[in-house]
Amino acid sequence: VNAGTVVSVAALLVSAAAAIGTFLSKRGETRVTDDANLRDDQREYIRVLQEDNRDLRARVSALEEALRAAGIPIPIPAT
Amino acid sequence: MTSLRAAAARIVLQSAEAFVALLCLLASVGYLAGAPKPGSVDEQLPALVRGAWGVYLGVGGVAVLAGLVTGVRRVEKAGLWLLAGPAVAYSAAALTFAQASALFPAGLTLAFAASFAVRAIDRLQVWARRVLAG
Repeated sequence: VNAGTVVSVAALLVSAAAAIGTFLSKRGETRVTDDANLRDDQREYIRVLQEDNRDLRARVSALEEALRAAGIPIPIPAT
Repeated sequence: MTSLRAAAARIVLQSAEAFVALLCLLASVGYLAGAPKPGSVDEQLPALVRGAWGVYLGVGGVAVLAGLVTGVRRVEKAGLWLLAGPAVAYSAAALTFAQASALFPAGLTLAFAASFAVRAIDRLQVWARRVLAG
């Protein structure tokens, strides 16, 4: 038995164990697919939404600042 | 149930992976059906290892294609692991028997094994997206 055969057998055994473990395990599947399995257009859509969200927050902050400067009380939203 | 259109989209988006899986599946037929070519790397291996090699390539190739078509990621990942094993095995055998003259094919096959493993480890991909893509 030579080194090539030993390493080959070891690689085949390790990969079989990894394959079986991966197939049987559902750990992280949902969480990971949220990101890893998204298509590029879906990822782009999320990025645009996040940008819109940031933009909206900035505009609200600017409006609050303007209201404060004008001495107008800012209504507290009901939660 | 996956639609035909979604399955086709997944195959097109992962065309390189689908191609390699198909290639491995075809190679497995050769390993399982015929005797090894004289002077080839696989001729140097015991028949049992050669047979296992063929089975891995066949089952792995089918699993990757099935995972891509159905969208079941863990089937695809299990298949990728089954393809990575024979790739490492081939590299080790080639380097052992042909030494320096096998550096290019062994390196290429090892790179395939590494890319299969990276594709099979979700966490590594998520990390790469966050850290490398910014």
